[in-house]
Amino acid sequence: MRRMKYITFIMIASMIAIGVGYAAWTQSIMVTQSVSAGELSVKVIGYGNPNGEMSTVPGQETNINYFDFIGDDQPPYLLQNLPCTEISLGGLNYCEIRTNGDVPYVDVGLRVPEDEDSITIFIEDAIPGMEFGYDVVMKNVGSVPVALTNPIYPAMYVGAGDDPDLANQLLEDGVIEFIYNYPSGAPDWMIARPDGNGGTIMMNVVCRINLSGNGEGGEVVLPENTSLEYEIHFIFEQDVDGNPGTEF
Amino acid sequence: MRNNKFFIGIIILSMMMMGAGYAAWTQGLIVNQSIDSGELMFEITAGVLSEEVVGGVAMPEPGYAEFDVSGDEVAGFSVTATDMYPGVVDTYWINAVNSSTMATKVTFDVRDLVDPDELDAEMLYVYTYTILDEDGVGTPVVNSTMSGFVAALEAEQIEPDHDVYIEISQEMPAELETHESAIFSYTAELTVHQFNAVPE
Repeated sequence: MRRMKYITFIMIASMIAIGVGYAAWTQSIMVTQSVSAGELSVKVIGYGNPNGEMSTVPGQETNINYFDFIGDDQPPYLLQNLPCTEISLGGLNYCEIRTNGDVPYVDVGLRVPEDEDSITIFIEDAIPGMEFGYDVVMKNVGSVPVALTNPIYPAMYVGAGDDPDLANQLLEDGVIEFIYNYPSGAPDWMIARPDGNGGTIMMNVVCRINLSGNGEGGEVVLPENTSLEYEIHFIFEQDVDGNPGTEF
Repeated sequence: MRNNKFFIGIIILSMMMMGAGYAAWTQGLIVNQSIDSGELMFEITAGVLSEEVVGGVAMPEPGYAEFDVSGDEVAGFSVTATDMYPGVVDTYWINAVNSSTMATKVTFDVRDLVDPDELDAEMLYVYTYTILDEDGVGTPVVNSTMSGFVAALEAEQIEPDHDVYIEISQEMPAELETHESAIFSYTAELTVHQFNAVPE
């Protein structure tokens, strides 16, 4: 008996030593949950047509759209086959497309930086009574569908320029107008799904400098030798299920 | 049940750790629009070209008649011919350089003491203008009446860096009966417009 107690004691001591208890058995299963966020990202890829992917590449030619003098009898100037030139400004490389004499008296163009998430439109030697229209093709390079309303209501800010107050006044008085258009027949929401067909949105922007304003601001006109800047923000939203849009 | 709570806890904790919110995402694409306006500018000079009697004979010095062009583009030019007599021909010139960044057109507002046509009838005028290109080349356009001259020049489009060179010759004709001590005068105001904004 004494021997049995000794053996039992030895077994219990061994089981304690190897970590096995008397309680009912349990098992733990570790689940590691990882959530990787997607990306909402839209880039400018070109101008003039939805397939203009290569138009921001130096050396490639592209179409901007048109330029017109208001009040003359001449047809608009079609801005086509303009070469993209690589330029460097402030340490960044840009694809620059400019008219370089294709339009008399005025030089207009567009500039897209390497990261392609903004556009700079410039009009040099602008005069009252002119209109400049450009098409911008944007591509959804993120992982979620994006949407932009139609009509477009961008946020508009006045940049530094020579006279921000005047720039704002010219807008309020209708001397300078910006008009945003989709291709005719576009739906209420323009949706670009990532990759594949329908990954682009094309938009037409018209900048018009009228000979005179709407009269509400008196005789405010575009002054000579003045630099004005405007910043236009197009807000792309994440497209959610049930959005009453049509893929474009 | 325990397992469900465990998974929900893990998911919430993961989302808190990566800072993700529940709001839908947005992205702004920025378009910077810069507008640098041009300039409308004409540089105008004027002077006497010649003073002679009919037949190309130079006016003796000191002459019997006086002819002068004075002023500047700010104050305006004044052309005066005094003590003219039949047979005297005075010619003056005006040169206007389009230093604008754009094409321009000009309009004239002629304010008369004597009707332009009547002035042309009493005096013999020859109005000549030439649009000169960057190389100074152009074809003279000659008119014998002020109205014809004004109409022709107002129809011209003057490109940047082109000149409008005007010569106006006025002759008191020898064969016409003119009025001694009469005064012929007019004021012509020239206004420069950008080419696509000329008032009707």
